[in-house]
Amino acid sequence: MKKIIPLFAILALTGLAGSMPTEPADNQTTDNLPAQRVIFRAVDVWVDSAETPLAAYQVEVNYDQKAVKIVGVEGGVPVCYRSAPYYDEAGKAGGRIILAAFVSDDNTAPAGKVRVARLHLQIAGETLPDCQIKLVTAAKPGGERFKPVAQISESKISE
Amino acid sequence: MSEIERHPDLAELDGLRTCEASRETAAHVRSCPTCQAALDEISALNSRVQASYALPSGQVSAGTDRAVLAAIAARAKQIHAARHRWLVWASGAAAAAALIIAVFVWNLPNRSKQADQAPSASYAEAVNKAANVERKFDIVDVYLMDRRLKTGGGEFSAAWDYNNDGRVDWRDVDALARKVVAVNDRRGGSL
Repeated sequence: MKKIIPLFAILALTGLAGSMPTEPADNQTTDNLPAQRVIFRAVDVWVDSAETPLAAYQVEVNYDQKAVKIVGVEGGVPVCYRSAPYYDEAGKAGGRIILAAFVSDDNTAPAGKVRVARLHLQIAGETLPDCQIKLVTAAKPGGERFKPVAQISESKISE
Repeated sequence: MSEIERHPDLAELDGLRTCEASRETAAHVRSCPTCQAALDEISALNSRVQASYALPSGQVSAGTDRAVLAAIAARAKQIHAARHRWLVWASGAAAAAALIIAVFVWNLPNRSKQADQAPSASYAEAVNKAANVERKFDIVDVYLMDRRLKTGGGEFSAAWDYNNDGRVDWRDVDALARKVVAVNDRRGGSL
């Protein structure tokens, strides 16, 4: 009996040690990104409609899926676009994401250069890879389509 | 006297003509004007029958021919009259159809003009057309659908019931918007 009790104690300690969280190694990353330094950046999505109120927009953002993973999609500045836009979860890691939103009240449609969304990126590497944005479509209040300018830029709130 | 007391029937008279009758029958007929007359009539009838049999095969008598031709002529007249009535009816129907088509075609430009002048009507048609016709759509279509739902801009066709819950409402707008941003279809969603 005296020999069995220490054996149980050893087994119990081993089990506790196995269940405790451990610090990741310096070169270990989350998910399936390459084993290298990871940084986090945010990019802003802009639509410049000049003097035309922006009632709806749809843009497509392309990025390097080997180096970038989108970890968050946030809405924009105007109240009507403050909620996160429509997007597909699959677009957060596939190199291409479509963002789209529309106003629920035409009277709130903003004009000018408007930040409509913000993307939070997990980047494998030291710098932000190039991201491309393309306007798919946009509409004035009432539904008439027009072509404002879509832009993407690194957010000033990045770490 | 061996004469029979009664008049012979037609079979016995005919037998007399063919020499098959009894002596009593022959004696009666000789002494009976009524039976003699009947025998003469039977003989005459027989002669006509024999004459008709004597005609070449496939030919009929002139009287029969005239009767048949008269019947054919009468029937042809009936058919012609019926056909004439049908032609009159068909011509009238064709003329009416042509008139309807002409009026419809003439009104097409006017209809387009009316649609331009009534944005809500043209929009309603466009929305339903988009729902009924297989095509790619984008966020503007979703925005217009949402706008129309909020303003009560008419009825939606069943094709817009995207989530098949028996009604068209904000849930369908939401489902369509998610379809629009789906990345597995580079050209956007489709109904």
